Amino acid sequence: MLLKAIWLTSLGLSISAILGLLILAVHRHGAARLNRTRTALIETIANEVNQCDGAAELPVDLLLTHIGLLPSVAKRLTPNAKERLINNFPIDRMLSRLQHLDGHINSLNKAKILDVFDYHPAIGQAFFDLLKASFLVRNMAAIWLIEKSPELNVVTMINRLCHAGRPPNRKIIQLLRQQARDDAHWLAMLSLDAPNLPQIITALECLQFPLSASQQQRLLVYLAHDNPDVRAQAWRAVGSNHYSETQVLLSGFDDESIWFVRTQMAYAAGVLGAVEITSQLEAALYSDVWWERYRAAQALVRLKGTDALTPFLTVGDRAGRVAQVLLSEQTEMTLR
Amino acid sequence: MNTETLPFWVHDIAVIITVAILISVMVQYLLYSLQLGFAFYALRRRIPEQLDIEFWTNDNSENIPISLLVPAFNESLNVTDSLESLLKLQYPAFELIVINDGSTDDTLATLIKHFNLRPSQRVFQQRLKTKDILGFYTSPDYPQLLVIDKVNGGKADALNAGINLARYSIFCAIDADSILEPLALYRAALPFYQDPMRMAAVGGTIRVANGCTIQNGAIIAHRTPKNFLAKLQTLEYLRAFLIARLGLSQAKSLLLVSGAFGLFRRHMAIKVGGYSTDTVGEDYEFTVKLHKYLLDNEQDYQVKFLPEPVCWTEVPESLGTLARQRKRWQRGAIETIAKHWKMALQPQYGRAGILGMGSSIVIDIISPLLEVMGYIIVPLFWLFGLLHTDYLLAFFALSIGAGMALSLAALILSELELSRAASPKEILSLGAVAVAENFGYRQINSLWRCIGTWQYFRKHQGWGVNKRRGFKKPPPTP
Repeated sequence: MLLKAIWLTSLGLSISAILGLLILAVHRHGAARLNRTRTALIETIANEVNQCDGAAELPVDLLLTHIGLLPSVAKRLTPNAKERLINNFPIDRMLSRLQHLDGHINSLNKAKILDVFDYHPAIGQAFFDLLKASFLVRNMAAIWLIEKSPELNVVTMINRLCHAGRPPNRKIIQLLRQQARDDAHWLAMLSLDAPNLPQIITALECLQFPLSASQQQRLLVYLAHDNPDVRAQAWRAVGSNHYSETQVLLSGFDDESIWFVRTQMAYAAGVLGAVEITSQLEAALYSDVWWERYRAAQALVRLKGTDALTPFLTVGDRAGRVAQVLLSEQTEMTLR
Repeated sequence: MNTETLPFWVHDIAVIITVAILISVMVQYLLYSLQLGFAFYALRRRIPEQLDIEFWTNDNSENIPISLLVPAFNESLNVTDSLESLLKLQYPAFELIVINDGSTDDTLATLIKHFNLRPSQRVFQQRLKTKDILGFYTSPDYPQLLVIDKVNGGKADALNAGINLARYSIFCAIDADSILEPLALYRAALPFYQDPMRMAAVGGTIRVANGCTIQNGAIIAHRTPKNFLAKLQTLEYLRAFLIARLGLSQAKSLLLVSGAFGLFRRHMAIKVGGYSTDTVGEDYEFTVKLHKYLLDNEQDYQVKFLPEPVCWTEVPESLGTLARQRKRWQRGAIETIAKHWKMALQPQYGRAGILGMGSSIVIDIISPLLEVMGYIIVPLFWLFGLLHTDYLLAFFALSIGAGMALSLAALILSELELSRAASPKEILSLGAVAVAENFGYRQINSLWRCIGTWQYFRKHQGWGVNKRRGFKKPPPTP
């Protein structure tokens, strides 16, 4: 009986696995075919729009039937064809079609379709729909709004999309920073008051640009935070902002036991020119952690130049090693 | 033959032997299934690393510098492609140390010509004892490249020389016939950044490069190999890495970080005395030694396997070369187990000792022997009328059917989670291989492992000659 069960189970398992693989292959085949069909359809519609001469020839019905493909079609249009489309497309019919498709087409795609026609009043409506969407879609929408419309005043939209009790997506603030917009600054400062740690840490990571005096004062709270990740990011922000008021706090370097906080303190010390903790930094060259040694060596070079590391070079220990690495990096940089 | 005349105990012995074989095969598959379960769990709950990579790429000052160590012995055919791929890695802080381990072909000359190398000097501390170093070469065009020319001492000795010369605290051992994906080093180094206090070693996936097209050190087209033997190994590697390594890593009992692509801490390597030169499975022995050292010193640590960082390697396409490789791997495994047998099933060595070493003993030593015995003895017993047909069916259904199910499950899991196959046709082709390998290839593989075990007891040494075909190049453009 047991023997029969063994061979029947083995046989069953292998047959199920074969069937599973066949289903997977058929599914992949279907997905690939669907993708090919979709691409072909986009190409066909784009070609028709590119080739038509006037408003009368515009394949309006075809475009309305496949309204979801419009953003992809628009990318394949010549500038002239796009202009013709924008000027001659019946916006009312499109809006009614979108309304009809409510629930079948997601609000982000709806906003993208409207954007093809620069129809920003309707984007506002689509945006309100977006607020009901999931966190992921909201974040995607915020990223798209920033990338697509730097000229738009989207601050309120982004703020509402990002601040629904969740930390803002790091990419949103990074994008705003890349565009040198005050919004990033503002968004990050808003997040400093957040009730949860991940949001505070993300906000501190983003504070890598000049802060006002009152904003810098708020950082002080986080330098003594219980969580080492918060402390580390706060020290990093202090270093990046050249916040000289905190020099005195660097004397607490020896009291800090977490290595990655110490690396950020060393970095801040170098940037702020805190020569008073040179001896602590020299002691940190013997740390067990490579990064602490490396950051301490970097800080010493910043404070006193490469001469600060010369005494350690002759000794073949870990301090000598990090000094050697750093000096060779400095030489390479000078040669470049 | 009339078996009714045989004494009753002969029947009993036949049944006992068959049941023992059946139990061993069942235990083997139970372990594989456990590994599959752990692998499935690990793949399902892995965090998408895209954002982290993006963040890390943007913030270069946080990158951990890494020394890449590439031992090369008679690798003139592939070494330049491999080094070109390494020099193109998307990682901002690394040095590349190539150790020419007394090659008898033109490996060194190829390197000198291709990379415009010049003789150079290096002052270093010999923390690990190695064979004599004959010279150093550097290139004005590639400042991060250092070539060490040394007297032949084997792969382990070459890696030890590389460790002595490495400038950075983390080193990555890579085979000279391998090609890393551009982001592989980033992905593999990430755990050292995320868990710097505990991370001791990280291994990545090895995949078969036969069939792929390589241009200027980069894989430009992924294809399943045309050669049937290479195709079989494609599936084998998939199963070994995606089920066994990932499963064991999730169960915190991974005993092997492959020598073809593994990251380690330099100071730990020095503490354990570097790679052992008296074994042919130096990577296996090194990882086990690392576990032992860390557990003996009661350290909280992790040895991790990651499915995403991929290293492509050329596998043997001839039966003779493959046989030599498999026998060598088996010798290496037994050498390691024999050297560290005290770790086996010992509670003080935790999961590494119980699950890691335990499954190695079952899968590497006991199972191949009993499996080969089973293929010979069970049909014979049945032919002589000593066994009921149900025993024969149970043995073949278990060893072939369950093996097939596991291979297919690995393939399905890999496709669902990582989607590496280029087309549905390739999925089906690999599926067909998963079925076909159970009719001949698996049996011959077990036989090679038995021969490897025999060679270990006969004190057979050496690596044997590995014939290479070289990576496939794209056709020249007219």
